[in-house]
Amino acid sequence: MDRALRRKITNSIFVGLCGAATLIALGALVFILWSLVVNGIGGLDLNIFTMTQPAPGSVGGLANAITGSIFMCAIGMVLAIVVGILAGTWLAEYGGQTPYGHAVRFLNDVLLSAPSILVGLFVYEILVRPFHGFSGYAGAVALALLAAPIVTRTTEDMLTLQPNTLREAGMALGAGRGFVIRSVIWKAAGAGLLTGALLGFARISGETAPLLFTSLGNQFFSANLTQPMASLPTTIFQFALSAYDDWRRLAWVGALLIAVAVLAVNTIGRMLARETHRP
Amino acid sequence: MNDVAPASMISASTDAPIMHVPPADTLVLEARKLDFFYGKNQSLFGVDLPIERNKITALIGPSGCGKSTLLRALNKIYDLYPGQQATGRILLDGKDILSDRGSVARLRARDGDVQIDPANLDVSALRARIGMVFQKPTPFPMSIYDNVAFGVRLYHKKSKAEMDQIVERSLRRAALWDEVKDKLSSSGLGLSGGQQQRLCVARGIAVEPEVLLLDEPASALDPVSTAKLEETLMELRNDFSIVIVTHNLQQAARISDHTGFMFLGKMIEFRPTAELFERPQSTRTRDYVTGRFG
Repeated sequence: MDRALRRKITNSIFVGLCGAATLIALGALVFILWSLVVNGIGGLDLNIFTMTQPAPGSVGGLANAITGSIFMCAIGMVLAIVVGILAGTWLAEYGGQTPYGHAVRFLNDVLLSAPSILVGLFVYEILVRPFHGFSGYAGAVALALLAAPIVTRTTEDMLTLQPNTLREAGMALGAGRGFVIRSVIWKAAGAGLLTGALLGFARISGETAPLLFTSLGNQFFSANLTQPMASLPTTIFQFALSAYDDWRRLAWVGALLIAVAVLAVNTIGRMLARETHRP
Repeated sequence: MNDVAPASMISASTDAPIMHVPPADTLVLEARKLDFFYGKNQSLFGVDLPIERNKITALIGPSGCGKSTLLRALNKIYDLYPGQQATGRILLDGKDILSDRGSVARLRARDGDVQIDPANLDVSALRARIGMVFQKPTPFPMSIYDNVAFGVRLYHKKSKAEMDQIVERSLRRAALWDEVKDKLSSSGLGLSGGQQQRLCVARGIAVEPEVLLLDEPASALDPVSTAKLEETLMELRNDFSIVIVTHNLQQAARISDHTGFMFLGKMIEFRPTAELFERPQSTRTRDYVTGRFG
C-alpha cells in the first residue's frame, strides 16, 4: 500500500477514535443533565425557595438547604481563595524551587486528591469534637480545605505561565517585586486565577461526605453558623434514600439546583474574564 | 556548523581591546573591567563600556557574545535570578552602583584594594534612572494610559492634570500619540507589535531616566515599525542616553554614534560608529561587519 494512503487511513482511524471518545463523554453528560431536568423541573416552584423542608406528605421546599449551601460555600470559597492565591503565588514567585517549596507542592498535590471523607473526619476532630457540636463554620472549613489545593495549584500554574520579561519590565521601571506581582502579574493571569476559583467552587458545591461530619444538616431554617446547618448535598442524600416520593422529588430538584448554580457561576465567571481581558 | 567561528578568531581573543573612549566628563554610565557569571559559567571577561551622554551606543556581535548580558548588568536586572553575579565597576555619573558588600568583596578579591565611591541607590531607584525596553514588547495588561503612568505613579504623586500631561508628552516623544490619543483607556494589549514596542518606550521614558537600555527592540517588528522606532530613538537622543543591543548591523550603522563589537564575552572594538564600520581595526570586527561570519 502506498505511504500517503496508509497515512490517510491511520489519520481517519485516529480522528474517528477521538470523535467517538468525545461522543461518549458528551453523551454521559447530556444523559445526566437530561435526567436532572426531567426529574427535577416538575418539582421546581416558588415553594422550593420560600419554605423549609417538609415532613413527609406535606408541602415544603429547600430554603434551609439552599441558604446553608450558599453560606458555607461562600465562606469556604473566600477562605480557599485567600489561602490558595497566596500559597500559589509564593510557590510560583518566591519559594517554589526551595526544598520547602517542593515539600509544599507535594503536600498540596496529595491534598488535591485526598478523599473528601477524610477531610470531613479531620475537621470533625479539630472543630466539631473540641467545641461539642456540629456547626456551619466547621462545614465551611471542610469545604475550604477541599477547594484551597485546587486554587493553589491553578494559581501556581497560571503565574508560571506569565513570561519573565513581564516581571522584568515591571522591575525595570523601578517597582518592587511584590508590587509587580500584585499589579501586573496577577492582572495578566486574571482569567486563569478565576478559572482556579471556579474549579474549586465546582468541586465543593456538591460535596456531601465532609458536610455530614461537620455541619451535619438541619431540618429547620438557620442562618446561624455556630449551629448545625442544612445544605443541598446532605438534604439530597437524606431525601434521595428515603421511602417518600415527595422527598425524592425534592432531592431531584436540589440536584438540579446545584447543577444550574455551577453552570451559571462558570458562565458568568468566564464572561467576566473575557470582558476584562478583551484587548 | 556555520555558526562556529573559525579557530583563528578564537586564538586571537587574548588581544587587548581597541577602545576609543570619549572624554570622561561626557560619560553618563560606564562599565569597567566587568566580569559576569551565570552560576559558575563566566560570560563576560573584563569588559569596558563607556556610554556617552545624549548619544546612541550600539552593541553588536554574534549570538551568545555577551551583549545582552552586558546590557542586563547595567541596570542590575540580573539581580532577580539567584546565581547571576557581576564583578567589576559600573559607574552612573561617576558613582559605583555595584556597591553591595558581595560585589565589593569580589572586586577586591580580584583587583586588590580598589577605592569605590558608592552611589547609595537601592536597586529600584537605580532602575528608575536606567530604563529598559525588551526584545518582545511587554505591555502590561492595563490601559494605554495606565501603562505609561505605571512607573511615574511609583515615585510621584501627581494630580490628574499633571499625569495627563506626562502621559501625552511621553506618548508624543515615543511617536505614538497620534495613533492612540482617542483610545487611551483601551488595553495596551490591543495595539500592534510596533505600537506596543513604542508604548514600552513611552512607559520607559515617562519616568525620565538618564539612560535607556534597549535589548534588540526591533527584532520582533516589521520593517515599517522598525523604521518608526529608529526615528523615535534618534529623536530621544536629545533627552536621553541610549544603549541598544542589535543583531541588525545596518540598524547600528544608521542610528548609533558609538558601536561596540563584542565576541566571546569580550569587548573587541569600541569606536565611533562610522569608523568602526568603515575602517575596522580588528580582523574579527572586519570579518563580522563585512558578513564573513556571525
